[in-house]
Amino acid sequence: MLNIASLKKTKARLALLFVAPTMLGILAFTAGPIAFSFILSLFYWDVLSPMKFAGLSHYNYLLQDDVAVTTLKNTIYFAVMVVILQNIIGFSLAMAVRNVANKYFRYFFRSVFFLPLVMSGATVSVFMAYFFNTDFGIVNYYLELVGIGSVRWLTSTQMVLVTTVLVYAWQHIGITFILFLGGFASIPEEVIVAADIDGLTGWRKIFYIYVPMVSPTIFFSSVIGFIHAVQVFDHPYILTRGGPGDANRTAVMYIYEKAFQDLEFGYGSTLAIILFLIILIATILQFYVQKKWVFYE
Amino acid sequence: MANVRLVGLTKKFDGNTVVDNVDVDIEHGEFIVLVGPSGCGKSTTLRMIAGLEDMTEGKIMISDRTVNLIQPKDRDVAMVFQNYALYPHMNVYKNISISLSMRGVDKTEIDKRVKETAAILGLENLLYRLPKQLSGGQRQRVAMGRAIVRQPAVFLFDEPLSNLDAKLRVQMRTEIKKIHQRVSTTIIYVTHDQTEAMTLADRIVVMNEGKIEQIGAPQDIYDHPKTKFVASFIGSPSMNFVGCEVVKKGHSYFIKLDENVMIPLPKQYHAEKDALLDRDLEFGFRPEHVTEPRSSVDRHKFNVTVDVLEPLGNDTMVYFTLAGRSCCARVSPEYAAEAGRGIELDLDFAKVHLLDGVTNRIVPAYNNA
Repeated sequence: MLNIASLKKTKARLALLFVAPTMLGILAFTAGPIAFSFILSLFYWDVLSPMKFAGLSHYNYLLQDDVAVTTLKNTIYFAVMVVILQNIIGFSLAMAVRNVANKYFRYFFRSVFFLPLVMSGATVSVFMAYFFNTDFGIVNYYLELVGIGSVRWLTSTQMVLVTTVLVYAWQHIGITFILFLGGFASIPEEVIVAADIDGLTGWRKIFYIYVPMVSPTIFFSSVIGFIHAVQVFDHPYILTRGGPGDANRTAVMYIYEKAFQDLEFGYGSTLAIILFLIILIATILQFYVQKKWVFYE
Repeated sequence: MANVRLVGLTKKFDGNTVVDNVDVDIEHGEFIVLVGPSGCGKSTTLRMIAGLEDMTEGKIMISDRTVNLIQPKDRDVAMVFQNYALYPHMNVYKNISISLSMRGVDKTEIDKRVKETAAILGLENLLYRLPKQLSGGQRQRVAMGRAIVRQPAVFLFDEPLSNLDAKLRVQMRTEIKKIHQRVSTTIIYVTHDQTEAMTLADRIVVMNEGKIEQIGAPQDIYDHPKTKFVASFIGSPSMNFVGCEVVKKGHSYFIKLDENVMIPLPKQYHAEKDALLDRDLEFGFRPEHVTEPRSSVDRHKFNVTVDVLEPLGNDTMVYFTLAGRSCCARVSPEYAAEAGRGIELDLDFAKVHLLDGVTNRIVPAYNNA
């Protein structure tokens, strides 16, 4: 006779077997390092000497460390600006390409806008450093041609982070562009047609129809974009090595400097844990707020 | 007065003509149904009237005004779609009122009109629900409400009942008819369902391959189809067709279906009987005109073997083979025999048709009863 209890047990064991590799992966490469980082943040450790318990002194020190506070501020400003810029430009480009009548031009633009994403951040930053060079950069050349004059893109403390935002957003625009193309494709054609007949045209159509109907895409691209942008390293590092001063220094860059240049692994881990908490809180906040503005059919 | 005139309306896609020189005059308050199979150009015609599709040639006039170059929103038309096309992020109230808001109508007036419309459609208790919280029938009513609230010159319905189940479809059909009786606005309605066309229309426009096959009142189209397409498309089950020739024996004329089946030429064809000789013809009759034997003049009895029976409850459809073609008769359930058995059927002469096998047009009958 079939024993239901033993069948359930066998099924549960089998299920466990299937999820085991993933669980092990998460333990080894995600949960493990996070836990180890947290433990490390409670110790002094320079690799060469034995670890020494520090308690919460790293966390106390962080509050008084002006550079750490600046880098965290820079990072949040950078991530917020990137998310806003990527959503606006990605949405606009997708809208424009969607309306291109010739399908070959549509394919062409899809590829062109996606292309920067397949390049490395380092490569992009190297040639963008030339583009935005104050003295011989092509951007300033054209600005001078039109009479605006030269801008200190990478040498001004006010402009350098903005420049990094522009470079980063330019490289990553392809992903939001593709996401929005998919979002627009999911809007039923009849709804757009009904809007035409109802008199929803131009900006009204964008704000009353397109934006609410791609709100899940905006939300997704914002969450992913923020998580990704907060971890930026290569662009500000290669563009200006974090300078001038600390104006272009981001949290991950500071973590790297503290841990691998100054060999303060405990303090580096403290910064990493704080950054992790910032990402976690921001993501939870985004999920909480989305209930009010994201529409799912 | 919202009359609609389509003059030489033509639409070509990549060289293919999908709507071919369509001319229709629609009177104010008329309920016109464009009916035809998928791809016949009926929806494209409707979209051109709405301004959602550019025409290749021709002219569209709404209320005696040429609207060829006028934007959809300015044509004074409202459209109801097959899949409702409601704005999923707006509640019912907002869905119904948005077109008025966009036209700058006063808020008090909007509220009054939305509530009036909701009352007509029985949506009063659903005004603050989202479309996803509504059933298919309720959604379709909201879609109609969105159209009604604007008080447009013309309503355009694009297969609005196709997504509903059979029972709801019948209910909504009645609702639409009631609404038309109440608002008396011109309606142009597209469907592939000939039952919908028959039940709703003041006049039916039957389309096939981009062209108009016939325009007329539902009963007139049913009784006097002009082409084989119309005869077979309107009516369910469709009209039976059997190849035939008209022969003369002595002074009498007969329709010869095959060597064994000859029936006297119905009197409505007597006026042109000689012209029918030696022509490639088909003999057409509707299932309901072949019944169990009835005592009446102008009827012809014949025996067939039942192939298949389809009981419908009120009637039974009997499928049989006549002169090599599968045919169908509608008999009373009591009369229906078993499959494989012989049965005597009775054909109403006054309702039969002859079809020209070359032109596929129905041969005009005279003194038609």
